[in-house]
Amino acid sequence: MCLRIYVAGYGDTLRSIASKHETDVHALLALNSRITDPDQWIDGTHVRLPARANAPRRQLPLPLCPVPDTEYPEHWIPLTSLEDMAQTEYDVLIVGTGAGGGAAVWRLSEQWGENEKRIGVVEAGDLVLPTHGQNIPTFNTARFEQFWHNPLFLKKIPIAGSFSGPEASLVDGYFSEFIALGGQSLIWATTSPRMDDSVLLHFPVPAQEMARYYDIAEQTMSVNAMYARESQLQDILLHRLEKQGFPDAADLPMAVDLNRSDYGLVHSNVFFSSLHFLAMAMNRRQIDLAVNARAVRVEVEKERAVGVQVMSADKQLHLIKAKTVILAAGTFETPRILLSSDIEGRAIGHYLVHHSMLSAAGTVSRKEFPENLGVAGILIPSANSRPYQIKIQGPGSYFWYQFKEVPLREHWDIYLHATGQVQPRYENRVMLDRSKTDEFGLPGLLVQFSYSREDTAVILQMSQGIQYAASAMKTAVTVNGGKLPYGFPGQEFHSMGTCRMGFDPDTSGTDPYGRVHGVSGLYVADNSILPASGGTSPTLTTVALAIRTADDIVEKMD
Amino acid sequence: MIKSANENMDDWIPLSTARNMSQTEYDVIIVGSGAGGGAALWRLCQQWKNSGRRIGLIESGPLLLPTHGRNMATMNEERFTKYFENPLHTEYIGKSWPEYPGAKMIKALGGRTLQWYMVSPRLNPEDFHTWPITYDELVPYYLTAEQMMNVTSKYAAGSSIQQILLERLRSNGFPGATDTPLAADLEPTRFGRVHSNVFFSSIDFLAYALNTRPFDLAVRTQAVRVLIDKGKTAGVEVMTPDFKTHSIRAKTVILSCGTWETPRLLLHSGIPGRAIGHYLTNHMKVFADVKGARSQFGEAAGVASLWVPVPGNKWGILYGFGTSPFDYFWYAYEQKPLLSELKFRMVSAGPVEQRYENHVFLEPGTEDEYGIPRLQVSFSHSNQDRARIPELFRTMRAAVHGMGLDFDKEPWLIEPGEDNHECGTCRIGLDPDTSATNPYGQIHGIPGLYVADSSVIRLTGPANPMLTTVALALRTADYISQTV
Repeated sequence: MCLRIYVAGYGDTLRSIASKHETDVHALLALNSRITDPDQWIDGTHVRLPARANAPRRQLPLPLCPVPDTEYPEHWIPLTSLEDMAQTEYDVLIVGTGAGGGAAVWRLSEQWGENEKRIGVVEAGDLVLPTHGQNIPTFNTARFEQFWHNPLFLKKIPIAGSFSGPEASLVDGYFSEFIALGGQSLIWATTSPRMDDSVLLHFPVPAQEMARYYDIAEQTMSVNAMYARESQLQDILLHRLEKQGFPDAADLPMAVDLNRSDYGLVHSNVFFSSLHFLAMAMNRRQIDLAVNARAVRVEVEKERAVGVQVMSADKQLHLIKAKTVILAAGTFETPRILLSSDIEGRAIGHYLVHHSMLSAAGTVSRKEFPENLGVAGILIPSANSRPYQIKIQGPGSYFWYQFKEVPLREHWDIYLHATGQVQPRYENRVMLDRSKTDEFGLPGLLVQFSYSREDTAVILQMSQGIQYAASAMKTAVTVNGGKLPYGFPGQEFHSMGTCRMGFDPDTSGTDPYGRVHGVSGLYVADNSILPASGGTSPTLTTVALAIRTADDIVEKMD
Repeated sequence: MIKSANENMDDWIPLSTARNMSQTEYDVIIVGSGAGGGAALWRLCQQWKNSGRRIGLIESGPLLLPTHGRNMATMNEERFTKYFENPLHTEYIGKSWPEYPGAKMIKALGGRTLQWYMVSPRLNPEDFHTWPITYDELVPYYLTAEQMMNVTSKYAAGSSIQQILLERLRSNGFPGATDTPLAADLEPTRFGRVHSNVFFSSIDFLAYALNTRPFDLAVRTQAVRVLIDKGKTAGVEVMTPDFKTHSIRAKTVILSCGTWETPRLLLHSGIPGRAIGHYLTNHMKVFADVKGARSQFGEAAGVASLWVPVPGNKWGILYGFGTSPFDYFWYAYEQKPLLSELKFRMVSAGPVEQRYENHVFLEPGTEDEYGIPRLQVSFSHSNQDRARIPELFRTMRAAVHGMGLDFDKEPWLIEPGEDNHECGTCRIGLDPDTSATNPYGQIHGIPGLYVADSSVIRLTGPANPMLTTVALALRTADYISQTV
């Protein structure tokens, strides 16, 4: 028995498919709720067929050669149906496949190898891209943005009331999340700095241990600062920054595989995504993975997690039993699952933070630079005295490109992008909105979020910082009306903190290993556990902590 | 037409529809997105970069993979093989062709280039003596094709297996043994230029084209008939999966549907030509699996990628790769264990004689869902072919002996079609009696109707035909851009 999905061919209808597969058209209608008319042409649609033991093989016309009795994968990654997963009791079930979930799956696979343990993964999203979007040949910056802004994958979570930005202008604010296998790691900028020591002081994890797990995360994700090496643009801008008050400006650390393919070792996926974690895990051992599988609630018995109720695309609930559950569904979905499961915890859903965000475009004259302009990728890191980071990238849209040439221009845009610290405050929170239900009948989410006076002060500081950096680099920044364009929460993906780690259950959702307070066998491994970040991009730290959480699970279970 | 900047894209490539495309009159419509169609599209986009000409591409298959399958992190050799063996992805048309049982098609954007082995040699200069064009005429197009497809002989650079096996071959009767030219972009990512698509596919041509100028693309759009008006090309009639018919107007049509579908479409459209569908050729291939002890090679074993011309036998070639079969295209995401024995796949190949009798034809009463009769193939080996087959076996044994390796599996002749090198059903030539297209790929006597795929090739040598298909498609596109 396995997941049966039939891709409707030319002229197929649900009725014709039902007869072809000897099943009832009403059963197909129930399984495929998006199709309402059984006689509608539905070519290309992935039609779910009822699972059936010993399904008869389809007769091919004129079978001169015997048809081998093989299960052919339909997709570029092996999938398991929820029906099948419901037959198994997993040692570990991971909910979500973004950076945190992927890292946990990989680490468990690495630690356990091919042993008898069972690892299951459920992902709410679909197969959207098989690699980071910047590895796809047909994307450039513009097309990639057009793709990932598509509301098919990019979901908005509304902010209650009107959102007050730093300029006190009220807007309909929202946060956003990218729902797909691989999650936001399919579209992230791969910026991978470590957090500053002043920030790590707020982590309930010893500094040496953080350093060790940072090492592992960096190695696995091929984090390096070589992307812009030998570029004249980089060298000259860095030099100017160093001379003009930014001595800590440095090569941007990125999760990019810059190796040459040799000895048959192929480096086809430069930009890292969580799919690399899944690939490495699958090459190590068996992993059961279901997509379009939405975790609804965690089942808890006697203060122990025993499994997860998961809803399939046809809205059937399946109980997936597991001794250990790792929630890695993200800063919004993880607390949603916990709150829907009536798991008590004063801090769960609270202390929501993100990074305030400002961007600016500067201009450089090509004449100031020699040949081999190359690219600039610079990070002015977040530090004790600087509660924000500035990322500098250019030229123009050629920071990454393939299958085209860079034209020679008189002027090039250089982009400065700053992300600033937001205070963790109890009142900033995500909560269930029971007045609304989504297409699965699950309660909606609502966010309460505002900036404190300190947050607004950081935004002002950040605005000045950008302008200082731009003038240090001699790049004239375009400033409209004296104010830099401000990014609203939904325009970045640095939401964190809703299950923050800590010792005190009153002010934290999880313990220092990501274990949800008061429930054994239940872990969180995503951005929601980060207790602080300064202005630093969070992914590397989330991955490091997820690896540490996986190690904790391995130690507990062996 | 092209989507506006604010519009969302649902897919990894901008798509139009057959219905929208039927509202436009195109300067050129290309049918098919495999190597020939992709190459022609890119070249036209490049030549007409700054002109208002309208270019459209239609593909009968869906979007399957956005890159060569071997570039994908989640594939390994086993998953890759099974994925493409899935009848959902590969159509095993040879199942109903008793004389050509190994034939298959991948109906998808990019066609078989999503899965090919990337071996990209040129034909030899002397192979052109029966061609209507000379080798020298094709050289600039070969060079452009090699550049675009990143053809390299460095895939096995630094490998001790490669060095040792080549040395043994050279000193044991195969003095010309060298590196296989492979369409693989081995360069590291530097200065912002990303090299994420090591193994070439036609999708890369589409990417270059997209970054050069706009064109319209419709997938799941089946060409059912070439439209001819007063002896001139007027467009193509297409059908969408809901069986709606649309006419897409174009004064120039390039058929790039491959050696099976291009003649099928021509025959179904009633295009006259004695040679259309005839002169089907391919490569006879003898395969063998060979092995040798790991201990004879140094630490940096790497991979072998051998290209072995056969002395005194211009029609044959021997090539091999290893270690076979699971780590030649080896992934960054798993570790390669230390082996005690290395295995290689060796191939000894030569072309089938071009004969009028080997042909495809429409079989009445076998219409597909679009009402087009299916093809049947008449194919046999000539006396010359039969005489050459033992020679392929002899060469194989001599080379394996010369390399100091042993057979793991004795040599065997593969079935017609398994080679994937079918060519010739619209071959180029001067005489309409013995060729379907003129030296630029234009169907004899029909202005505006061109063919740019493997069907135009006269498979006169042992070289894998892909690079030559691309070179000829570029040349056809250049001719069109200069004459339209």
